[in-house]
Amino acid sequence: MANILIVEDEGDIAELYRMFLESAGHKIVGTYADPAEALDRVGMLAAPDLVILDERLGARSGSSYLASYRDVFRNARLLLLSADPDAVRWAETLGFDEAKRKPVTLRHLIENIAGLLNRPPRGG
Amino acid sequence: MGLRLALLNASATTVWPPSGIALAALLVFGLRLWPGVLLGALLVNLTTSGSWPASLGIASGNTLEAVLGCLLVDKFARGRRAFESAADVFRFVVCSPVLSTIVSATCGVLSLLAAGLARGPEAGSIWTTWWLGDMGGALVVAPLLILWTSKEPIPISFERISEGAVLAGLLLFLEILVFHGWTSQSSLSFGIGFLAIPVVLWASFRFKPRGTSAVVFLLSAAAVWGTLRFSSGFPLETRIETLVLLQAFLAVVSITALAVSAAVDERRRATERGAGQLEELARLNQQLDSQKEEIRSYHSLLTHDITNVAMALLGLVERLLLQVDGPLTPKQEELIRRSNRQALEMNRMGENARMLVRVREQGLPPPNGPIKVVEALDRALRQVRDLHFDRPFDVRVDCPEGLMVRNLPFLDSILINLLDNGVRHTPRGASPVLTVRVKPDDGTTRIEIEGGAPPPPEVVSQLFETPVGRKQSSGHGIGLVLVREVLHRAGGSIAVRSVRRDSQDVFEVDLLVPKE
Repeated sequence: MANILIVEDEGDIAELYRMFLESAGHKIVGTYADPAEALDRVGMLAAPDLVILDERLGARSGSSYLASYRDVFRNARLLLLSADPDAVRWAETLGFDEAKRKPVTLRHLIENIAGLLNRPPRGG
Repeated sequence: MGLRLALLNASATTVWPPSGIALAALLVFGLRLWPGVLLGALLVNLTTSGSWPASLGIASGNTLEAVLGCLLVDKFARGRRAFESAADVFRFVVCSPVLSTIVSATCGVLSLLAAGLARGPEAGSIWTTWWLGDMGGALVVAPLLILWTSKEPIPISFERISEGAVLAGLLLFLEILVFHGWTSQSSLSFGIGFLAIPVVLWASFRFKPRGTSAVVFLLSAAAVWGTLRFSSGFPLETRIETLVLLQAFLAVVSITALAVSAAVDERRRATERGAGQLEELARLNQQLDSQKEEIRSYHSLLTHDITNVAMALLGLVERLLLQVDGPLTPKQEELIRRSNRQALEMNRMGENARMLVRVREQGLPPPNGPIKVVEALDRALRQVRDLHFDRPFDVRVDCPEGLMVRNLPFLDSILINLLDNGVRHTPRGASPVLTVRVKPDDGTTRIEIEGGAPPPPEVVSQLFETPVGRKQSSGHGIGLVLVREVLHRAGGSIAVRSVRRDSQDVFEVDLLVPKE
């Protein structure tokens, strides 16, 4: 099973991800509302196999952290979740491993993650 | 100076500035000044005729002329503002210089005849001279006094003063040409006098009505002075003829100059107003843009948050329905499914609003790639079943398995909106059967959705209109507007109609997906 880092500023949604992913046997290595904070704490985290990144995080944009996350989490797949269809449309072109549009049923999310984990990360 | 030109009779002159002074005084300060006009005219006429009855009659005529002129100009030519438009200038000319002066000339001649100061055969010539003299005064002096007593500030600049000096110099030069000229031939001198017209028109175009009135006054004063000085040795008939011609010339120049000046000023004011309105329009547009930006920002935040709230609710419901945290009673399950429906509804409204604004502002997004119609229908049906979990309905799908649509974004949303509409509007208790037929049609794809009770005709006609301001509209209306907008922009079409099937009226939607 995989180590997963969650970057999501909506507490309830982050908690739902955690519940479903843990039920599916994955390990949550951290849950952060601020994408910069996750980078700051990188030394304290187990290396994630997957990062779930929200696009709109308060005033910040998840996709603007793509390069930093690729650099820091070298072996992780990056999954962007966004309510904005345009952000989802361009995410894979920008370099995300996958992008899904919110709302997504958590059952489908688990299935997607399983498929994603079977592929090597794009930057790896 | 005026009475020095009284050639036919001591009381009748071809130049009579007091008629203009009296008119201007009453227009500027009000009719209450009429006793002053009467007293002035009486004193002047006593000095010329020496007859009290005649002087009183003449003075009464002068006063009546001023009062009548003032009333007519106030009524028909906007009073003191008569020189702000060309039309009012012409009305002013008719009201006072042409009409009211008739009173003075008539009273004057009758008074002279009654007092034995004029003979019957001279009456016609005296009347004409009198009328011309008063008209000249009203045309030349009244505009000058009315305009120069206005409170409008006078723009002073080096350029304006220099231009005015050049203009005055040119007038002086023409004056010298006419009265001291190269030739003593009066006809040629008279012809040269017409060179003053372009100079006066220059003033009309450049110096507004006020400057024009001053130039007309200077020209008139110089012309009268020159005529007085140089025609003194001429025979009486020639002098009278010269003065009549001079008056006619000055009248034409004055009317033309004042009318042109007013028209130019009108245009200038209209241009300034237009510029002001454009400026105001630009300001309002900027305000509108800023408000639109604010609303766009609120809209974006709102739809984003709706999606997040919906996602959290749908996730929680999903978790509960999986019953991993414990079994649910049937009632609990029903209540949770109702919550699920509300979350789905909320999400769909947010989605539709977001997509509609996106399409309107940025156009259609490029297609994501080919979509299998069967799969899109399956996804749409799953959501419609979740929305109407407590309502039995049947959907029959007839769609070729491999049929793909490549150039229609938001196909899932379109199908959800249309199928949901088909079930939603069927009366409670009925079990609608929807038939979906999908078939390729000469490069296009035709999707027919048939079934469900047709809404009333007035609702059908507005079904795809923006629900703003419509009575009894709901957020669901946005979905249908989105459907029409997307299809229209993609080059497809949608038609709705009520058809009769098996003795029942049913609703039919015919959707044409454009060619690849």
